[in-house]
Amino acid sequence: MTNPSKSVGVLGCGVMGSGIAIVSARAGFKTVVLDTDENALNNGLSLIERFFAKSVEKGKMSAEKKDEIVNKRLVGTTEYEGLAECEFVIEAIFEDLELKQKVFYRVHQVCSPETILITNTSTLSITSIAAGSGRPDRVIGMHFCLPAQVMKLVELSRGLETSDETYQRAKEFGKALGQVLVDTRDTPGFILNYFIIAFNNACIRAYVDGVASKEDIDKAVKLGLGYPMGPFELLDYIGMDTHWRASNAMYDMVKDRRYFPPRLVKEMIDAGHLGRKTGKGFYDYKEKGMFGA
Amino acid sequence: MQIEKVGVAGFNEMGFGISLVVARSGFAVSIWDTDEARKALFDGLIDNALKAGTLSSEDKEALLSRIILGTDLAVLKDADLVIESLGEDLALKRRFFADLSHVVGEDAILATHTSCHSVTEICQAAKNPQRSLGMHFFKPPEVVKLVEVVKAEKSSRNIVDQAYDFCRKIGKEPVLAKDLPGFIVNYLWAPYMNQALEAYDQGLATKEDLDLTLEMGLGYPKGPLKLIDQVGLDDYLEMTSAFYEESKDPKFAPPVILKRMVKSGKTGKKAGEGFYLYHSDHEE
Repeated sequence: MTNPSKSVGVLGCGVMGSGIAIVSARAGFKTVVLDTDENALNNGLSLIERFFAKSVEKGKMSAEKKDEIVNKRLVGTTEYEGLAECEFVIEAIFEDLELKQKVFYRVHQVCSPETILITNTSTLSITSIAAGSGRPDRVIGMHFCLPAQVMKLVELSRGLETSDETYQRAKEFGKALGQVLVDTRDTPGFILNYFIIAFNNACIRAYVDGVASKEDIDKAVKLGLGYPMGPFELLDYIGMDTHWRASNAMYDMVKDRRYFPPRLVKEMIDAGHLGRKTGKGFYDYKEKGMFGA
Repeated sequence: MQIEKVGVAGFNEMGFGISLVVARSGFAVSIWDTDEARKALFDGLIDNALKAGTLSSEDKEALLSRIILGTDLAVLKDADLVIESLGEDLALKRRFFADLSHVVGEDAILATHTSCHSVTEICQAAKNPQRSLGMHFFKPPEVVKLVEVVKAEKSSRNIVDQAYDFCRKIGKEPVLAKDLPGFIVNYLWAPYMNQALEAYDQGLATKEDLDLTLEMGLGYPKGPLKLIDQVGLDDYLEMTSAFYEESKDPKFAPPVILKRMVKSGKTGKKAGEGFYLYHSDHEE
């Protein structure tokens, strides 16, 4: 059984990394957050603190609990050595294979042989990330959904060399985090992105081809299929730059035209219409910024 | 022209469902079909609504006073709008539009509720294709608010506007669709479903994990395999095959697993087995 007195390392302090750190600290693990960029680290840590402060405001958490988490359980570091005691290290850095391999190799050098390295990649191959890690049998994929602090689902995928023991320990760890795990293969996009990227591109293409207006497509998908958001609302939330990168990463691997981003995506990026975060995407937004609590 | 009287063709779940929605909004509705025996389905639907509490016994009387069922095409003769919801048989639908054109008034609007066929091909069988179009409802029509108003090649703008108006009067949200295979919803949904069937066949994940991932991760009300069991694999196969025939677009090509399962009788919930097993005493 996973010992909660042991610590969890989170690499990368962006939106995803911060979310995962929240999940880990909330579940009772000592959580070490590493970002080599001090500014990014401080931004991430204050994002996490604001989240817990909001939880207190909403009455979901006591002020004492929040203080305990923020002051005792949560540690920030800019040095790899800070991860030395961690039993699990989760990376949530930029989607770049070489970078992920390099970072895992650094972790491999400072951590005990028992430490399991977890990648939160959404589109890269677990096997290829593991190949550069120095310990491919102790690498596994755990893909959290955005925002990690809200979404319970985690896609668990084994690389070619992931050992049974690593798989079992990762599974127990995921449960200890309070997440719901599904098993999937180490194939591009796993389950979620394999479907949603193709679907979103199909919707953009339908709009460009004049199948219907974007408003009517959103309405049809929400009312006809019961999806919580229309594709264009969702894309504005994801961000066109993120969608562009993910689509291209998928297309490069599978060479399937469903993943090839329609021209409009690039045009919108060039025009600065990235979605909610820039105040304009498929729709106009008065308030810029991200999601709530 | 004001739509006051509405005709519906098809003694079936969809035809009766649409009729109830229309009648509840205060319109007089005449329902026509040839098979007397299937009239009984209508009473079953009313009973279910009473049991479910969605219809009170007082409302029932008022509702039934506005509805007429008949097997003579003449019951549709005064209709200002006729919604055709016969079986998915192109020849049957075309014949109905042709015959109906001789019965209704010059100003009547003819609407086809089809999922598989070209709306234009059906509308062309009417004497006046300018006054014909598609109105695609969703199951169950009493619950789903969406109606795809499909403009056929010759449908006039005025008719489309009137159909929009009518949808709003019966509490529906219209969207404007082109006469393409699948219109909007099925145009986007069928490729997704085909992809899910293929991914499952190739072992991407177990059926439970595949469904759970899309339900939890994307907030879909039902994962693809649960959903297709409910829709019926045979009906879905018929639909996506029709789209493929019409467009030759590979995204609509029916996956092998679908044909295999339909051939072996695993057509979904109604057959007791599809991707999941269903027992009559323990329904999912």
